[in-house]
Amino acid sequence: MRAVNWTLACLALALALSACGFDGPVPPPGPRPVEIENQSQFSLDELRIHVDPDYRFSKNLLAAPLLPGSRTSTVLEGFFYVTVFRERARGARVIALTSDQPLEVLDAERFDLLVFDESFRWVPIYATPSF
Amino acid sequence: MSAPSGKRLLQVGPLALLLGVGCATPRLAVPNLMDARAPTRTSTFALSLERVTITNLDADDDRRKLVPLRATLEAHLMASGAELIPEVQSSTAWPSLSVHLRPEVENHRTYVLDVLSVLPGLGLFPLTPEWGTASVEAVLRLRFESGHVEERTVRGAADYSHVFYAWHRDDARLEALARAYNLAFSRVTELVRAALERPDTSQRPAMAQAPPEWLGTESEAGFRVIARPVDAAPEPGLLRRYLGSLGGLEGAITGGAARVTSSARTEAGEERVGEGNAVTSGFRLAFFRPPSRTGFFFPPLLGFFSQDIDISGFVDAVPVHQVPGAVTVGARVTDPETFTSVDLSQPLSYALRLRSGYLGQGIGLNLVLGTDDVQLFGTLRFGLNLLEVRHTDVSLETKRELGWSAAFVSSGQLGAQAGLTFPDLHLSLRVAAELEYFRSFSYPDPLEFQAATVFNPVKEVYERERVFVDGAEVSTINWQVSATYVF
Repeated sequence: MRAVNWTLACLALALALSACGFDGPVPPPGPRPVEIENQSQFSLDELRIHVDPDYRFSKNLLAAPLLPGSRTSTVLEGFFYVTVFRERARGARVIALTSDQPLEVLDAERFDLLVFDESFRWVPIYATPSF
Repeated sequence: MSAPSGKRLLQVGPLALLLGVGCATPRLAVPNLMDARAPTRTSTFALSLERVTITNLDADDDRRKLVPLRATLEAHLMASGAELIPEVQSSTAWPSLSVHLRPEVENHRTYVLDVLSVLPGLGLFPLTPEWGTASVEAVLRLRFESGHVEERTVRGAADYSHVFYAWHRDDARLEALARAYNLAFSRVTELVRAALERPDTSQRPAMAQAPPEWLGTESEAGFRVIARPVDAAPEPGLLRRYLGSLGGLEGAITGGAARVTSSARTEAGEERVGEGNAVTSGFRLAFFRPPSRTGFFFPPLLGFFSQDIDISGFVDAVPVHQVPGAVTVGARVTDPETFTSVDLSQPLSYALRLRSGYLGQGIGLNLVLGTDDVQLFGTLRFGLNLLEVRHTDVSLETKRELGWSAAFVSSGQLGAQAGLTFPDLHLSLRVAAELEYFRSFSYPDPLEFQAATVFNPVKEVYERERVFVDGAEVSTINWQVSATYVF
């Protein structure tokens, strides 16, 4: 009888600890596929992903300019900034638009990154539950 | 047929009134008998005044005035010593005289001010000047006792004008007609007396005819519409004549403003997407001749237009719109070459250098009112550029594009001035303004502007549509206040 009581007590403690999150740190989500769509009115000359706010030491991910309405894809993880290069207007100088805060890869299945004229939209896409 | 509507009457009425101007111009006026000169000769001569006829009368002329008009001619003849033989005693025993009269009236109006006077809402606009010349041609046929006939034609004229309410007045016109009749009658009388005082004419041919004699035009006095230069006498000396041809030396304070706008059709409709303004001010010295007479003029236009001006888009905020289930962030904008910030809220700005050489036709109207001592003048001038060769130079940052184009009937100008002239003081003062307008001054390549911010429901984002504009409307206004020393 005493052994049964100890067993029940240990089980209750284990359940209580489990409910309080004492099962250790959650590992960050791994790399996720990201679809990048140019929804701006401009052709994008360069696309850079970088961890620091400074984009100057990052590489251009585009092999060719990304036309309005076109898409490209990549794999991202963790926190990052995104920068695109485009003409300010036809015939004007090229400007760089950098997200004014870092975007984060969460535990969604995949992401869409929409590039607008003067902003970015980060859209997590979760797997559709199946029965 | 239905009755014309009130609106239709308002449209047609002024035109009908203007077309009707001058249709009813009486030409019969009786000079004051006191104008007949008092007898200066003691000798007298007998004369039978036979027929006095008149043509070219208006339907509105009062034929009852013909009797006093003949009486005036008789008074002139008697004042010069003629003893008129009553018609019942007329025979070949005395020289006889027949006179044929032909009065004419030439009149002018500004039309522009007449339209103002008949437009509804302006009431009885008083300044509706009319001016012109009344003239009388007299053909006298003098038959001597010998059967010899002499025929002479003389023509006299007098200026007249109505400054205010000319539609409702004819006093100055009738007074000018009376002066023209007097001029003609005086000369007829002189010719008759001179002919009758000559020695025997029996050896002369049966008929003698002399070329018409022009007696000149009597000017008006006092405040009037000045239709002829007051001082038309040429200046003595070559230098004075040369300086006189230049008019005078004018010193002016000048100012001006230019405006350029570009519009485009966007999803929201026709929208002005760019504009620019520039102002100028300064002084100017130039030769200027104040208008000296009333009337229309038709200057050819051959000129060059030059305007440097910036055209910019408009500032409009582009809010960041959040949607559920996503994160939307704004952008920090930098110049990749210098890594310095770029303010996207500052609109695009293009530097335009617009040039146009043009050829066209103008029409102008000078109105000069006043006396011999002080004259008030006003001018309204309109010009249409029929042919233009344009050069456009557009710069955006370090990029520059140039282009030539031709334009037909795409621009014009409207000018006005008002001033005062004091001939005795050699002084003229004026204010003047001129508006120039160029429709669609083409760019070498379409320029990009941004339309106003709108919400795109498909993207769920605020954005400014990119629009490309082919050309710009350019307008300038220049004004000046000046004083002129008239040579």
